Amino acid sequence: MIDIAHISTAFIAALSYVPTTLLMSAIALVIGLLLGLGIALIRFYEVKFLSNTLRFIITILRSIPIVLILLASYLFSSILLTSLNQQYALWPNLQNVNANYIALFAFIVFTTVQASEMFRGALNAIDKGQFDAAKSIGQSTRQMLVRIILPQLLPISVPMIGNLSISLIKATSLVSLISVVDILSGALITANTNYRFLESYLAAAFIYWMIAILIEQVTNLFERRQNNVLEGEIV
Amino acid sequence: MEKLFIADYFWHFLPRLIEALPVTLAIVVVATLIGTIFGLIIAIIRIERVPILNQIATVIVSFLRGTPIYIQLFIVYFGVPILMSAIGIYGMSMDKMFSVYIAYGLNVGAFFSETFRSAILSVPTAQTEAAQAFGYTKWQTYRQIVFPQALRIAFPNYGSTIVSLLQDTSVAFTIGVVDVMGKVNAIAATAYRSFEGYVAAAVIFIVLSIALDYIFKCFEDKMSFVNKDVKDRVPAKKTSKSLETTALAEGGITND
Repeated sequence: MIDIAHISTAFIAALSYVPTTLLMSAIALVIGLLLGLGIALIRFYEVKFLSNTLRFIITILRSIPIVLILLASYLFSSILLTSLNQQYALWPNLQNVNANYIALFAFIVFTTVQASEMFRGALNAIDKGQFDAAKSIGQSTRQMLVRIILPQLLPISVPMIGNLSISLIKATSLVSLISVVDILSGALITANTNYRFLESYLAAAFIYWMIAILIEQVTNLFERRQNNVLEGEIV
Repeated sequence: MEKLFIADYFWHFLPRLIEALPVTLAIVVVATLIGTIFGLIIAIIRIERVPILNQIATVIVSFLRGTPIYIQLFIVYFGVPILMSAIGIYGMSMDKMFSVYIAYGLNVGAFFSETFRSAILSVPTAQTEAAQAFGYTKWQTYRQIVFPQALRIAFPNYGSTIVSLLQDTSVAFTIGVVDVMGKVNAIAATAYRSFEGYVAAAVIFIVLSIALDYIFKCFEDKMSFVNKDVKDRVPAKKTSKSLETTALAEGGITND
């Protein structure tokens, strides 16, 4: 049967790796959101050439599972490094790129793609009258973005950013496949000696669950406050 | 010098990966079926606020949505035999595909349940009340009045959940299922080269995702009845008068 004591041992062992997961997710989230916003704006304003190229790239990247991106970039980095070293002997002592950076790269790609789609939807949801009004009082495109559009875009994106961070954190559980130590591998370390795999997986699942609930609560709180503010303005 | 990409390997991988495609598709189809039933049951339990079951359903959905499918897969894989021995069935050999179906079915069912729930709740209550005024039973109301309307609202989300299910199946190889991803690893063990395999797998996933997206888009267009009615019934060039007559004749005001 399930051994509660082993769950708690694994839980405590895994807890010390929570910062690793959160840090990686946070960096990927910040960079991915910025890049995603940029891509969404480029596509929204239909910038020549760039817009279509990005649309193509995003459509392709959206359809590739994150685990595939992760494994492929891990392999590619080692092939590239070997090849460069054989040719130019750039870093002869470097056998492998730190897997943490590769994981980070893969998650930045993942977040960027998701965020660009998310912001594109949010941009389309903003009333067209807002753009016209900003233009009619002679604001430049940059002024319009900074003063009118972004302040409206960000609040409506908050629930989606919450969802995105939850799916990003869930995706980080895959990094153990490229031998980065995270929550899951932390929980499994105890299982290597006592073969209690189910308990270790349950312990890791609980940690991910707690993080997801926490993010959800924070987003809900923000949303409720936002609604109160909006209602206050109308009444 | 080590080459970055060897096209020969790519062509070596691609046909063999396509052979493994039925396994991936089977996971998608079976999980969708299990998930639809599971999701519908959960959605109705939560809408009707069945005591106790409602709370259990809420916790289960929260767990399934808040934890990675990668971990859920292993929990089912290791957990079902233990669960079985707890109720007195010992030594059950666990088929890998079986646990994959269960894990993906439950996972996608949790996401479906949220889609179904919001779709059912968005059907105006007046519809249900009208049905009850006609003496419909609860089941009749759901089946004849609520579901047909909710289906249309739920469909876009249902479709995109299935597309992300397809992408999630790429994790199933971690418990040893030989689907497209599992095949890459199996071949790579003898070919000593797997990067081209991952590229080939990516190509397969891209084609499948775009195809699925397209199919769901077609269904969606067929279902959105507002546009279809206007397009089908009223040819483009018509005077406003004939438009009015068509609308009347087509069932705007009829007595039968």
